[in-house]
Amino acid sequence: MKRSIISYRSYCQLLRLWSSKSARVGSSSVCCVKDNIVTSLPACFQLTVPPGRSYCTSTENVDEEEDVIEDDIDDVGPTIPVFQHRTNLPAKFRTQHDDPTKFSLEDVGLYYKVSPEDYKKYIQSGQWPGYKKQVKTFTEATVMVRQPALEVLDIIENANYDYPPLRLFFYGKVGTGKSMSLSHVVQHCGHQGMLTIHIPDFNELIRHRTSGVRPHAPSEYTDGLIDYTDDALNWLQYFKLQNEELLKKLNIKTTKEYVWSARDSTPVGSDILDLLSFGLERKKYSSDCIGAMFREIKKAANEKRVKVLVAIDGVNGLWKNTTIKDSEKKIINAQKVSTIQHFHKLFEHNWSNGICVGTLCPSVEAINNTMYENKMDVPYTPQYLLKKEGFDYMDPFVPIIVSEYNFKEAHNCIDYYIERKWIQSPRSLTESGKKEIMMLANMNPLQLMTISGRF
Amino acid sequence: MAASMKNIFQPVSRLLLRKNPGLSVVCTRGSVYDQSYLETSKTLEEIKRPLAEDDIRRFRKIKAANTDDNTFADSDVVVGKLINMITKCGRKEVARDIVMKALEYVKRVQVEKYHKASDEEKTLIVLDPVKILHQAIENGKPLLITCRVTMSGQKHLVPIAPSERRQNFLSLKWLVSAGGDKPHRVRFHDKLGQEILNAFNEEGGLIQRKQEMHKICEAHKAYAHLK
Repeated sequence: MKRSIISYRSYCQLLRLWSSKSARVGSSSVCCVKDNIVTSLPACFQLTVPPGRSYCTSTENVDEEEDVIEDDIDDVGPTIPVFQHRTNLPAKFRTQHDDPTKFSLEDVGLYYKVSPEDYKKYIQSGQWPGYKKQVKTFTEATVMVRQPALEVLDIIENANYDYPPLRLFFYGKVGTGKSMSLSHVVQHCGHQGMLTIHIPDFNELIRHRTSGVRPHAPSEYTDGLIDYTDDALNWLQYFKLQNEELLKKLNIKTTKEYVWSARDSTPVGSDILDLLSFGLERKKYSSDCIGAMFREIKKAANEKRVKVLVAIDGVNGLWKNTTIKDSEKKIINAQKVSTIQHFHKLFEHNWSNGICVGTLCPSVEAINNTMYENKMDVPYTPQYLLKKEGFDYMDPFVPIIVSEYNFKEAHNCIDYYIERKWIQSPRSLTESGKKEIMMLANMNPLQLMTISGRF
Repeated sequence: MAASMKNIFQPVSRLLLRKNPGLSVVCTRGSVYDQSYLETSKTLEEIKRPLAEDDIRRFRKIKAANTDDNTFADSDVVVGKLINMITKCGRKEVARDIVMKALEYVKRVQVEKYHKASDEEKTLIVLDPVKILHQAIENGKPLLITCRVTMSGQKHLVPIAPSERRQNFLSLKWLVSAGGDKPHRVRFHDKLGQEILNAFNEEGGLIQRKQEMHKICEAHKAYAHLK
């Protein structure tokens, strides 16, 4: 934790120095940057200035854009470094390496490539449908390194694992990249050798299905609860995809005999993978299998055999209503679904050597809610989304805001689209055209993705 | 009383449609602007260019801009026409959304093809969806159309050469109708995008419609002298 604050401070100071210099010198500083050497800065910073930015403008446009540059410096103010205004040099919007575990604050706002295996494992599920289409058309999967994700990763590295698990929640407006940051965290922890318990999308467990009523059955283990049969099975498959290799190495044995019925039972000392495969074979017991597995994983974590990451997208859905009705035709709350209840119990204080990360989604709040027609209108603050019951349950937690792109990130995003031939209209390749797109999208990542389709 | 009041306030167009229009009715309603007004400048370059001292725009009145005119980078005349053609019940926003999605579909297909192609093939692929739309409409223009002529009580279909304005209109109209010809579950914007791509490659519903028209003209070429 200490290390990150120190590095952040120095980065801030650097930016402030640049900006103050640029504001003071005015038009003369622009002339300096032309040769890619900032002579007006002190000597120690000269090497750290990255090469100029922006992509695809032809040489004809350069003369016009230089006029634009001089105007903009007065308008935009001292918060933006000078080097972002250059337009006729090759852009730098990709990281130098693609290893998700080794990113620092210098890589913020840059894209890194995700291998097809990792994309299937960690990132694919739970994203907006537009992102999946984008990956298909660009024939590569990329994720932007952003500050909130790095902040969480820093806390995960430096946390004390003798205490009960910390809770870290991303929150922010719709389409700002909460789920993407979460899947970045999951990918990082998966590479570090942590066991990941990941729900990629809570919407899918709650919302109305067009194909019919969600398959469910009364619980065998506790009265009054119901099980999701198909959803539990699907989640077990997803869990197996992420953690099968790790579980083979760990070799966790069960500490209790689980009796499913008169014939079926899992004896003491059997492998946890057997428990998993039993849940995959017998759909009826797969929900109870999840509970039994979590119990064993918690015990293994307490003995410091493995670190555990719990990542749930849309934590505020734990207290929402489902669309299923009981025999008295009353809608059942998510608290009475055993499948969801098992995940709910992971946030308790009775275990250690783990960490809980989640997102608070306005889009989950908007399901079955007649108050809001558009999910963009839903308030995004943690207290509103968790309500009183949820807020009291989760109370000591670290909220981390995911805001819209800043100027640098938005520029990088548009440059990436231009490099992938996604933005085509000739006028939007110039500096003024890029600003038009940014203005229309309000620098919102989701809006940028959709609106750039027109240009 | 009420009946007479109705007659007084009858709209002018209704009066003109009658067989014997009253002599006192004079048609005054046309364009708001008379011939002395100039057209508005619609591109950014034109707006930003300084006026010369002897420019006409200094001395003449200028028309107000339309509500849907803009100078964004994605504005285009043909796309605007297509949007107007699709609009129903004045819901232009919906129509604009559909057209943008259709163009996005075209771009998706072309960009994916581009990234999978080898270096030699890459230069041949057109990526700009607006250019593809222009070419598709160019391909769909009919060279001959028919018109009805009555000669001695009999109606004949007579092939004639259409004006460019009429060609454009028909090409756009047939493109939209080809997009509407689809199964129930398929989205309109996806089918419209497919039709644009097909017409660009000289196949599909639009081109078929054009060829049918040419066939009719061929069959009725004996009456070509009538007009």
